[in-house]
Amino acid sequence: MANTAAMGSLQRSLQDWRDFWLTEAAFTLSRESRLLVLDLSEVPSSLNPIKMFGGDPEHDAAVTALIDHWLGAMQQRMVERACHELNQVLLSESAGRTLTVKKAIPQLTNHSLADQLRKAALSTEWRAAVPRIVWAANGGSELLDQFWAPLLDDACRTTMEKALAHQL
Amino acid sequence: MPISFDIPERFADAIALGKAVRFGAILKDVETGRIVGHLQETGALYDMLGRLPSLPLNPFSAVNAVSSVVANVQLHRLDTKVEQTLQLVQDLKSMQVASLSLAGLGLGVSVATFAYLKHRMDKVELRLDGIQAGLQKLLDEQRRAELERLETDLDAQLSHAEEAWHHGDGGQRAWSRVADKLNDMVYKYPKHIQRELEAAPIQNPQLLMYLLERFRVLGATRIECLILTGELHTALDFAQRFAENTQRMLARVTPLQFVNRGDAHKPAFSQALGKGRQLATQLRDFHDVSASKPMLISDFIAHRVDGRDYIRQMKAEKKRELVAVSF
Repeated sequence: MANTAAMGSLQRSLQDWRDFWLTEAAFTLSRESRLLVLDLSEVPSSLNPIKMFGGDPEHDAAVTALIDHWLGAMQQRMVERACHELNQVLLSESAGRTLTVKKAIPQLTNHSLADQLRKAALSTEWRAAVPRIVWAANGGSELLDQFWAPLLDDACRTTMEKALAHQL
Repeated sequence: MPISFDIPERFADAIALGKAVRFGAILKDVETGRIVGHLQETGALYDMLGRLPSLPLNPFSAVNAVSSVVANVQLHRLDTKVEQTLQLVQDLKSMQVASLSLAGLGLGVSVATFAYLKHRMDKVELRLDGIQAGLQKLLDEQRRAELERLETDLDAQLSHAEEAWHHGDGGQRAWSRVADKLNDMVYKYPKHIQRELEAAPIQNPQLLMYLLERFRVLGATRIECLILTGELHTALDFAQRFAENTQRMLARVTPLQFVNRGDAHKPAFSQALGKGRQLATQLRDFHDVSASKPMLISDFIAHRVDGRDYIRQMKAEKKRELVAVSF
């Protein structure tokens, strides 16, 4: 029963951690989606005549840089902070013993959605395509549903498995 | 086996130092995971609640204090549970404790009189017909009829259970019958709860909370009846299954299920997210207390505690509204 109590307590802390970061992500992504569209609309087209032949490398480079910067900011503000906090949860639950998450911090910038976002931002329908990935008007968010929520669920599941193996 | 009833202050230092934490209705030693005490409501709590001019009627629905998600950076339990427990220790007579005790929690085994539960159920705001006005579109005729029948049956069983205290055999046969009858009823609620949880977003949190409250009262009453008849192993088995059922239903619920994501452009969206998280927290509290109840019953069995004496003693406690029980 003591073990059940310990596991129950850990599970609750993990659920609270997941709840917090789900709502935080919903708030952040819904706001960031609008800001990102505004930022993208302000990227100037270059005066390079090559754009007349179907390309605008300077514009594309600026858009890609903007998206990469945005992804990097999200990586720091959400992914790294959440992972850091998860370790604090574990430290608290295990009273300083050695249950820590040794997994590498997931990299949003390397995820397939990051590539899709770069492509979406460069497409002619970028005003619709970018929000579809980040947060659309109808509440759809590929980043939330395909990256963030699975990441949180996976962290909770693997942590519980690890805790059970260690008989925390 | 003597039981030590201690006021929660005894644990305040351990909690303040981070050596003990509360999970559901138990206090556990952080380092060893060992249970150091079970929080248990007493008769004094219900005396106090009876004297209060007003109470949060639907224990699950008292969600008023909403706040911006961004304004509450550290809201999860890691940071708040110590504070909550200290609050519990320091402020026993506050409405917060009243809310906690009524918040669908039922700390320890239920010692509210069956009459008290029946009285609370009779409050129109807590009855199905009291919340039906806004539910016409949500409840079809068949579903409404089934829920009304369940409500009437539960009402009747609570009356039988209360009357049993005065029976010549000490109530044994009546409580046994009530426990059997409630067992037939209790598993009818999860399908309704599940149905509400499957909607995205959840259409009516009020109906969901009503269903959970009824589910809780049914479970707590059956457990009390089984303990009163000395059927501790059956009570333990039922409490474990009840907790598993609760876990199955509620573990996957997230705050976002209470939010219409398409409303993200509206100014009230962050408030809706905060409210969603509060509702999810209430569901988690409900589950935690359900999960910790078998631990108390298990200790009854291990330490040969007479459940009937225990309940009587807790009902008779008139000074302390909440005690921590250790064996």
